[in-house]
Amino acid sequence: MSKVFFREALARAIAEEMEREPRLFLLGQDIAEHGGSYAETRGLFERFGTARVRNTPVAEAMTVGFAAGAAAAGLRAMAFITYLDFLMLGLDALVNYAAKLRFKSAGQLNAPIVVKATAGAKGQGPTHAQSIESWLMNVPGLTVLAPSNAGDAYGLLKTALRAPGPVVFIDHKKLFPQGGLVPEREELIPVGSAAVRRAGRHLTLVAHSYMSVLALEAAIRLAAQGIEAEVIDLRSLWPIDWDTLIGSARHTGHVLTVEEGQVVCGVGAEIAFGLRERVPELRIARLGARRAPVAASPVLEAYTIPDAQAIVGAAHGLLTRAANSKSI
Amino acid sequence: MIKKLLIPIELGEAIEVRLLLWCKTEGQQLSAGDALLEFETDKALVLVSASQPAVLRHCFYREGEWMKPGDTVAWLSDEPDEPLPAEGDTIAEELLVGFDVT
Amino acid sequence: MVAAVGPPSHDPGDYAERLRRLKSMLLLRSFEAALLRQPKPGFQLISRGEEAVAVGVCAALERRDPLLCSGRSIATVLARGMAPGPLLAELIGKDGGPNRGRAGRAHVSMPSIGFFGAHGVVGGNLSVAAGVAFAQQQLATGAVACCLFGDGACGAGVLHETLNIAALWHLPLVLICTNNGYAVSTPVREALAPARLTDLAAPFGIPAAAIDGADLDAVVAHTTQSVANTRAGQGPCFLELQCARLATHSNLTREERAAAELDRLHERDPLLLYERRLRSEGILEDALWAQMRAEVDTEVAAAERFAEAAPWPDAEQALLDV
Repeated sequence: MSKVFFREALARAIAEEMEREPRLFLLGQDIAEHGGSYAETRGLFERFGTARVRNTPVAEAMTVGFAAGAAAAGLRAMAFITYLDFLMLGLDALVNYAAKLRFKSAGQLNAPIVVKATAGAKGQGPTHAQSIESWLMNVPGLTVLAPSNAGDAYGLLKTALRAPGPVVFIDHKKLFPQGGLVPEREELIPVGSAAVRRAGRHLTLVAHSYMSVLALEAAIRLAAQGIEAEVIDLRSLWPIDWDTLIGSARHTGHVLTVEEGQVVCGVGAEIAFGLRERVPELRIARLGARRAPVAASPVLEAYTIPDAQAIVGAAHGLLTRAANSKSI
Repeated sequence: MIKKLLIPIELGEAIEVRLLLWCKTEGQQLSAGDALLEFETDKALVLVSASQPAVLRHCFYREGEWMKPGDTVAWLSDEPDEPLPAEGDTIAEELLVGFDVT
Repeated sequence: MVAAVGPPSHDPGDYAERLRRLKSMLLLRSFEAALLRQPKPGFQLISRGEEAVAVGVCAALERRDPLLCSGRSIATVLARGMAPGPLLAELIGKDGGPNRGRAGRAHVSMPSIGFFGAHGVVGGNLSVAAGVAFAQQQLATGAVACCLFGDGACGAGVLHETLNIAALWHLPLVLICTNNGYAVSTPVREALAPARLTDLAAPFGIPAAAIDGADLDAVVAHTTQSVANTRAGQGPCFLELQCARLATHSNLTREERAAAELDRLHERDPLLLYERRLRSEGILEDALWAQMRAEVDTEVAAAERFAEAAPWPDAEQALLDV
C-alpha cells in the first residue's frame, strides 16, 4: 500500500481504466489542462489528449445527456459535476434517460456512464453544500457509490468505470485534504459492499462518505466512555449491503445511521427501516442535518450539520431510550 | 542556537502534506532567501525558503513522506558545529521562513 | 408561413421510388387510423400531417445513421422500417416488438434498423443525440446522428446547450425541428420569441433552412443535402420542416382550433398533396392508387392480427433489464 492524496487515488483509477478501455472518455468543466476542479484529473489531459479529456461549458443538462448518448452509442463516458448540487440540472438526462434506457429498450440499449459529483458543506453556502445522494437511491436503474477514503475511492471508481449501466459516484469536499492508502496493484471493490471500519458490541454506527470519518472519531470518544461502537461504512448506497448490516445489527441490537444530508427521506431512513424489517426488535435512530439549508457562515454551517460530538450525543440518546423503554 | 522548521498550522484546510523535495542536504549552509524544501498539500505546492542564514542539521522526514501541520520537519543551527539536543528535547525557537504557494 | 428556399437542386428520384414513398405515407396514415380503432388505443400522439417529414427524413438517411425523435414517434418509427405488426403490439402494450411492451409510443426504439429511439420528455433527446453524434465521430463510423423534435421543444434550455456543443465540437448532428404550429394548445407565436425558428441556430453559426414539411420531394431534397454536408464533415445543421398538425395533439386532447383554420388544414395534407403531384406528373393514376391502397389495407390488417395475437407480457417482465 502507498499513501496518496484522495484526488490522486481518483486520477489513478481513471488513468488505469482509460488505458484499459480506449473508448472511455471524460467530460466536465475544467478537467483538461486545469486538471479538474479538485485536481482529480491532473495529468490525464497530457496523457490521453483532447479527444478523450474534454472541457465542457457550464451546462450540466447537456453534459449528462451527452454522456448518456455517447455511451449508448458505443463509448463509455465519465461526467464530472463539480458540486452535487448542480447535478440537479442534469437529473432529467440521468433519471429519465440513462437510468431507464436499458429497461425501456428491453436491453437493446444501455448507458454505461459514471457521473461523479462532490457533495458536502465546506464554507460555500446553501447551493454548494448539499448532500442529496438519498434522492438517487430510489431511482431504479441507478447505482450509487460513496467512498470515504482514498483506497475505497480507487477501488470503487474502477468498478464504476466498468459497470454495465449508469453509476453516480459521490465524493465529498472534506475527503480531499487528507491522504489515504491505496493498493500497489490494481484492485476493484464490488458494488453492494459495505466495510466494517471498527468492531464494537454496544451499537452500530452506519455512515457513508465524510460522515464515516466522523463516525470513527465518535467511536473513539465513545470508547473512552465505555461504549464500544461498531462503525460500518456503507460505500454503496445502492445496492445496499444488507448482509453486512444485518450481521452487525443482530450483534449490537442498536443502529444509529449518520449522514450529512437531510434526515427526512434520507439514507438513514432507508437503512434504519430496512434493518428493522429484517431484524425485529432492533433499536434504531437516525442523525443528519438539521432541517435548513446550509448557510454561508461557518458558525451556522457547523450548527446545521452533524459533527463527531453530535454523533456521540445521538449514540447516547439511542442507548438511553432503548434502555428506558420497550419501543423505539 | 538550534531552531526548528515547522509545517505551519495556518496552512488552512490541509490535514496532511507530502514532502516532495529537499533543496539542501544535512550539513549545508543556507543563506537568507535559499530554497529549503518543497511540499504539497491537496491543493497547492509550497516552496519553503529560509529568511535567515542557518545550517541544516537534521531532517526528520524524507522525500515522499507525509507530515502534519505543527510537525517539526527539521533542525537547523546558526553555527555548523553546535551540539544537537538529544532525541525528545523540545526546541522552542522557530526558523524564520517564507512560503511560496503555487 | 413557408420560407421559400429555392427548388431542390437535384432530381427528386425515379418514379418507382416516389411511388414507394407515397405508399409509405399512406401506410403511416392508415396505420394510425387502425391504431385509433383499437378497443384500448392508450394515449397516443398522432403524426397525421407529418408523414412527409417522417418518410422524407428517413429517405435521406442511411441505415447506419442513428435517428432519434420525440414522443410523436409513430410515423417516424414506421418510416424508419419497423414492421407495423410489432409496432402496433408495442403501442397497445403487448409483448410483440423489440421493446416488449415497456416503451410504448413515447420510448419505442430499435437501434438495429437505425432507430435509436423516441423519448417522451420534450427536448429530452437533444443532448443525447449530441452524444450519439460524438460517438460516431470518435468511432469514425461515417454516420450522422439525426434528431427530430417539435416546435414545442424550442423554448427549452437544453436546445441551446445542444446547439452550442454541436457547433463547438463540430458534431455530425442533423437537428430537425418539425414545426406544426402548436405545442398542445399553444401556438408558436405565443411560445417563442424568435421571428423564425431557424434563427435559433444562427448564434451558433449552424447552417439552417426552413422547408415546406408537407412537400415530400422538398423534404427529401433538402434533408439529403444537409445530411450529405454534415457527413462530409461540415458540422451540424438545423432544418425546420413546416407542416400542419391535421389532428389534435393526442387522441385524448380536444380540438380547440377555430373552424376556419380546421377547414383549411387539408391544404397542408402531405398525402393529398403528393398524390396530386404524382397524378399531375402522370406517375399515378386511379388503378395504381387503388392497388396501393388495397396493399396498404392488407398490410395494416395483418398488423392488427399480429397485435391481436401477440401476448401480453408476463407481469414479472416489469422487473427485467432495470
